Amino acid sequence: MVESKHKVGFRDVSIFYGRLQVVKHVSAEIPEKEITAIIGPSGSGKSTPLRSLNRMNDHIGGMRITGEAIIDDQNIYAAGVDVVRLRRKVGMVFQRPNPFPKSIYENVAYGPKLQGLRTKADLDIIVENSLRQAALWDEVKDRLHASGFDLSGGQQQRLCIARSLAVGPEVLLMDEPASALDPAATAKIEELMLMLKRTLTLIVVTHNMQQAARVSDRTAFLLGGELAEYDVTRKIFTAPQDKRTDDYISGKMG
Amino acid sequence: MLRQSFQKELEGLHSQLLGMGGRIEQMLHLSLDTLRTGNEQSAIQVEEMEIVIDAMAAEIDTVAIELIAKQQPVGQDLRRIIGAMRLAVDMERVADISTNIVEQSRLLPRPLIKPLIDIPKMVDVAAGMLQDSLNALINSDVNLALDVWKRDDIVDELCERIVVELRSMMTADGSIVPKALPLLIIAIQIERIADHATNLAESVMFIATGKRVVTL
Repeated sequence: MVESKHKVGFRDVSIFYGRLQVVKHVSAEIPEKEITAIIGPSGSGKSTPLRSLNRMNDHIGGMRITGEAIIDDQNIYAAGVDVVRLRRKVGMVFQRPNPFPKSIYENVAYGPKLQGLRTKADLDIIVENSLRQAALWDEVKDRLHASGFDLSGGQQQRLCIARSLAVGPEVLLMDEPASALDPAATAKIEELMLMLKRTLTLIVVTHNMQQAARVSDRTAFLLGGELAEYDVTRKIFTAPQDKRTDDYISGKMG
Repeated sequence: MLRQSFQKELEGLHSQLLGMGGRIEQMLHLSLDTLRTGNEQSAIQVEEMEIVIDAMAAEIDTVAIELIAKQQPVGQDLRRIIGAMRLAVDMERVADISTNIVEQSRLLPRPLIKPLIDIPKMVDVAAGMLQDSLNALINSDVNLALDVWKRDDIVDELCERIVVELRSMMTADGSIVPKALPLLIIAIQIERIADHATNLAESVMFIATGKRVVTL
């Protein structure tokens, strides 16, 4: 595999909630325009490092992070980092689709509007492009002003992805993005992820190992807050180096 | 379409197999050329191609294992992958056998003790079986595959005939053993090629229907 540029990095990252250490000395470099999956048993600290990448843990009382979380060679926890700009660059998609109680159009236009974009023509373009990128346009183009809640679960999730894309992120964090969806909707999200990686760096937390195997280029296996193994996905799923990884992916543990 | 990228990877595996199939057909014909004419150029070509075939077989194996690990295929997708692994093994064996034919042809003192009659017939049938099993693979043609499977008997009979003939010649005149033995070995090798073509046809049927030949 050709070594591409590193977009995201963890350098000896530890994260504490009060006295509880949930992430322990994690170091990993994540290449750009790839899909990196984070797998591990429940409570193994998968979501915490993911969320740390757009500083979503900041508001959790007692949260403390040591080491460096890097995006584009910059420690995002350094003093003076503009968190609003960071979050524009690093989008997030959650487990349960959470459209705003607004129209499909307004859901997608929301972010650009917050950024001060007001011209309807510009917004129209962004909304269409984002919905196309999220592979939803053809299904909703005739009812852009219907409520986001009128959509199926899978469509709602793609709407949320479109909403994230509308502000032009470079990294997309996905926390169990398909675990609330049926297999067909899941397959659509996975195909979408494969399309998005042409332009974006994706990091996905999943408890669905098959999903990690199917879509990701690299897989990180977290266990008890430690990075047990991190490698290209085909190696993790055909010949893992760590016995614990083998036990986990083959269902003997976790 | 759902899981488009996975389907593309499956198609990639399929075209790798077809590429391999085209090469082993060529190898078989070149090895026969060596047998007929002692052409060293063809012999060398067969040996070079064998190295390529080994690499192709290893690549198909790796890709298939990765696809199973990564995609958890079921149904026909699973059969296509398992089938691809089996096909690659049989094709690789055909390539090995072609090099064996080349080796034996080199040992063959010329002029030959008898004109080649039944061996070219065997090669024709075996090569036809090989070609049709590949066509059956390309078109998922179960009937053609079944036809290949039935033709194995023709090759077996021809081989038996050659064995009987050479045995009686060797019994009558022990001095011809060095000239007859390579021909005997070659006949048996070609019979093995037909067996592998039969396996290819069985794998094609397995991929297409999920059934084994005996139950069809």
